[in-house]
Amino acid sequence: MSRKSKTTEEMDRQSMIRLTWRRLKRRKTAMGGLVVFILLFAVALLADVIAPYGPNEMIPGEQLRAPSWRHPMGTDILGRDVLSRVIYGSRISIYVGFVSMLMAVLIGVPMGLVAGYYGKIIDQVIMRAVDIMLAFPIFLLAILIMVVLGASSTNVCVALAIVYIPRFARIVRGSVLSIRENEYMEAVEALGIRKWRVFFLHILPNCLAPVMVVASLSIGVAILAEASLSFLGMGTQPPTPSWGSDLRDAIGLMEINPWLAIFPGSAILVTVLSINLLGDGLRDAIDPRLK
Amino acid sequence: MSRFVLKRAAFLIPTFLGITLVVFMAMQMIPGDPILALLQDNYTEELAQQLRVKLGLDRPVPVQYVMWLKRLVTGDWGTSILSKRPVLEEILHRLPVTLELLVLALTAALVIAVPVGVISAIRPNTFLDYSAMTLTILGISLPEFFLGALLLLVFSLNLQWLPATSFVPISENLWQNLRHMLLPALTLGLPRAALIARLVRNSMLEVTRQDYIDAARAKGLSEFLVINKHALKNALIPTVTVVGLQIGYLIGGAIIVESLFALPGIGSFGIDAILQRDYPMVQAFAIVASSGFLLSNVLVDLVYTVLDPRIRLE
Repeated sequence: MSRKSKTTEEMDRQSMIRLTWRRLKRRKTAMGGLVVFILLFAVALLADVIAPYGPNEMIPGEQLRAPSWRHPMGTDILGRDVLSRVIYGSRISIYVGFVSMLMAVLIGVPMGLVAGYYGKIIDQVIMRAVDIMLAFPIFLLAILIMVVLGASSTNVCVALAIVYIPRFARIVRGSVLSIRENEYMEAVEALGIRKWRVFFLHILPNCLAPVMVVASLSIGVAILAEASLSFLGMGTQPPTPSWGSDLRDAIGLMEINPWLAIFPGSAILVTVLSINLLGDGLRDAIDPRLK
Repeated sequence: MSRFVLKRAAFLIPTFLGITLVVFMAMQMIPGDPILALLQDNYTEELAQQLRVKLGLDRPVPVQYVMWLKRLVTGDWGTSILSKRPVLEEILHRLPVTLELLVLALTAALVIAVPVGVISAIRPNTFLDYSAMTLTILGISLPEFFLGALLLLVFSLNLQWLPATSFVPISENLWQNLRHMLLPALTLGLPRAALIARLVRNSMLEVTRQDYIDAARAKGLSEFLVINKHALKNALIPTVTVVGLQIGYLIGGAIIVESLFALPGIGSFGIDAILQRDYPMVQAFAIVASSGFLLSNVLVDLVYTVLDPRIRLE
């Protein structure tokens, strides 16, 4: 009996993924976002192969050049090839976007599960802490954590993860509370199924849809936040190429060479846009009611 | 109504205490000795010990927190390490600039977003709707500092219509002040406008599908009245929630925009304080910014009760 129910469960889960994918495929903008994002991912992975120069290679006598065949995006004040820096910069953005969200999900989801499932004092303690964290504007909290941790791209990941943990905890707690109201939970309890099985097989999978949607859209926000922190001089530190800090260096030189600002800025725009298009499509495909 | 206000106000106090606790703990966790930062070159062991006793830094941490909170509430916010002036004075001096920026940005966002959202919703799936929605998703994906850099490049450096990074206080010359604030306000407001327009469109679409809208049309009301009086008012309720949440983003964005345009507000000042390790300023900045967010959320709740009397009854 238990064996049979396990297989139907697996089938259901597979068909949900398949159904989501089928719905997602129909959305041209979402697929466009996916294709662009895969390309960006490939660029980040293959930066060493694709980039014509090293990210910190200073080419003597070629400072502040306008875009040309030799340097398609021009060169900066130190004579570094902007294209190469933009290519290498994708690494930091994608790394921060994914790692911070992964950390936030891995900590926030169990917190929400525990709060929602056990309720009472545990719920109170977790949710009051969550409320206080949510009382801060996102970016301000990230800045405050960066003050404590010190500027580096790994610390940006940690800061953004801390900012997002309460958000995931709250979403999951809400889902758990509504799942517990379902009749099948009564059945699960009546059958005397062990707690960890209830957790992982009956509650967790049903919470994942909103988590996936919020996580995918938040990757875009995290990439923007990394760029913004680096722009303010509190994120990725030079000479490591980061779109945000490169744009900061470009502001004062915009009158002479506007391209220095336009290329890293456009790289951020294209990356975040592709993630937003994909996230939007994913939200509609997973659960149109979330719209 | 007054009970609702009181209930919301009562909620403010524990949240404010929570905020102060987080800020205090963050300041405790910063590596390095604050006494060293305060005394700098004048550091001697004896002076340091005196200052430690004076500031209560020799007491247990919970006691320090209570003392600190007491000073915070009574307006003794300490002295800025950099400017050597009282922190509260520095903050109050810069607050008007930030408030003006926030108000202008939010106004710009709403003035753009509501018409765009409504027009998209009453002509769904047309060319107009698609172009508006494409622009909004671009707007959401734009970092403020890049949008600001582009606006500076076009309107200040190339066309020379507007001043670049300088500032005229509102008390000196209103017209010049607005000319200086226009680009920063647009930089901060446009990405918010994009997001709000998408929401207005969605909730308008939902509202216009309801029966009472058909009823309003059936009794012969003009389309203008149906949309603007009957549909829009209900569509704005979920929008207000989001506008409330957006204020958090606006405060974060103001920090970036003020730094980019060199506006003398709290945001740019806070960043300078952080980069130069002026911690009394940093903590004041964190408290003021998050308390502002807290207060604006309560204001948003009050706006609901005006828009939707049902909420009061709950």
